Amino acid sequence: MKSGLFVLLALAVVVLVDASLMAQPRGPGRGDSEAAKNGWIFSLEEGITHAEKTGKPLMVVFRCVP
Amino acid sequence: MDCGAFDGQVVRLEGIKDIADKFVRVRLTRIENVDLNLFEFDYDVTFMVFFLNAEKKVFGRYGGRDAEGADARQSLKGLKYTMESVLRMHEREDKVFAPKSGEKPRFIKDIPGPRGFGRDCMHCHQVREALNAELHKAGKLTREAVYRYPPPDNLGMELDVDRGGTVKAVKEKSAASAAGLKAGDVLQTLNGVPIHSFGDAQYALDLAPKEGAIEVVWKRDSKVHREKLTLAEGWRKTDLLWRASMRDLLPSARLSGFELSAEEKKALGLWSKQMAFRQRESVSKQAKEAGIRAGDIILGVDDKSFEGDLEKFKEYVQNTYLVGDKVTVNIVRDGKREKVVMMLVK
Repeated sequence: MKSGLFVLLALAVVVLVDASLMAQPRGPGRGDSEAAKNGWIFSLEEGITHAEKTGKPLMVVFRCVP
Repeated sequence: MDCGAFDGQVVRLEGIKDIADKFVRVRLTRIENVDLNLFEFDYDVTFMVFFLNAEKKVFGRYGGRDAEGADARQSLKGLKYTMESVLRMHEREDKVFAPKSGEKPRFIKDIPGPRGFGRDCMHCHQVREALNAELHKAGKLTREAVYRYPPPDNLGMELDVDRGGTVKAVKEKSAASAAGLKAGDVLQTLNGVPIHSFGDAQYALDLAPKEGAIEVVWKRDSKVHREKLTLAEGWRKTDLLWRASMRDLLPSARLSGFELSAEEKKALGLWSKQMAFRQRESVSKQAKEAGIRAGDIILGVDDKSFEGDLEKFKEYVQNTYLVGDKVTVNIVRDGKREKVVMMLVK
């Protein structure tokens, strides 16, 4: 009985960990606090609004790190 | 240096801070909500920069790679050069923008097919896999269609990694040489695409047909030249083995064995460095189905013989065929040359 409960708990932990990896945040990606410090923003729409206000072109970096 | 290290330098603006401050800087690490018709790039790469204006018109791209490595075609100097080139274009009255394949926004959720990690989390290469699956369903996934983003080297011109569209070298007897291009020339447009970088050149060539000709415009000593670049059959062919999106499409020869000795080759009338191996005792399922037996001597496929070893042979098969293709395997059995047809599998 105890071992069955242990297996269930272990499975629940695996599922929770996996779900947390799948559901990454929509904003800055992992390790992007350094990017924020260097003036990078993490939303294209926000960037376009800035570009409209300042007249600057946009530099959009794609870094594929899911 | 891997592309992660290069990305880190870009994030920290190493050596590009002053010019980077002339741009609004956006960093995106998720592909799911991106308009694929606006941000068209080689989805097998994990780093790519786009330069555009507030109206979402694209000036150019920076990035791209080849089989040599993730960073063989990019450098901070090269990025800075491209940023300067884009700024000059941005300041012009008569701005020239890159064309787009489609005007209507298109997202990955609009493409039916495999999703890898699910709808909300994908690797970039899985976008290409979904696009390939769409082509396959439509019967359009040909060998030509999988050679995406060919480098300008395929037409005989090598671009300077540190200087955007500047030609570093031109190969003799190539399409570039025939058009009159020389080292030091600066590409202006290629196939109608303004060139600020190697990434732009790859994009321009990705849009080019499998045969025919495209226009190339370049500057030499302030003088503008305009010529046609001839695209010979098979010009798009590049090494596909580094591409993650191709893992399910590239076949395995599923043949293995031991190299023949020099004496054995001589006895069969083969040249000394010619690839030839004796199929081992264990024969794969599809080789058996094709009629290949243990002890058969494998010489090549589709009457093509090779200099090199078994690995070279396997590489050739992967770079030349797709899963599902049928090939004729050239063998020697009991001293006689024979041919057997084999279906290639993953």
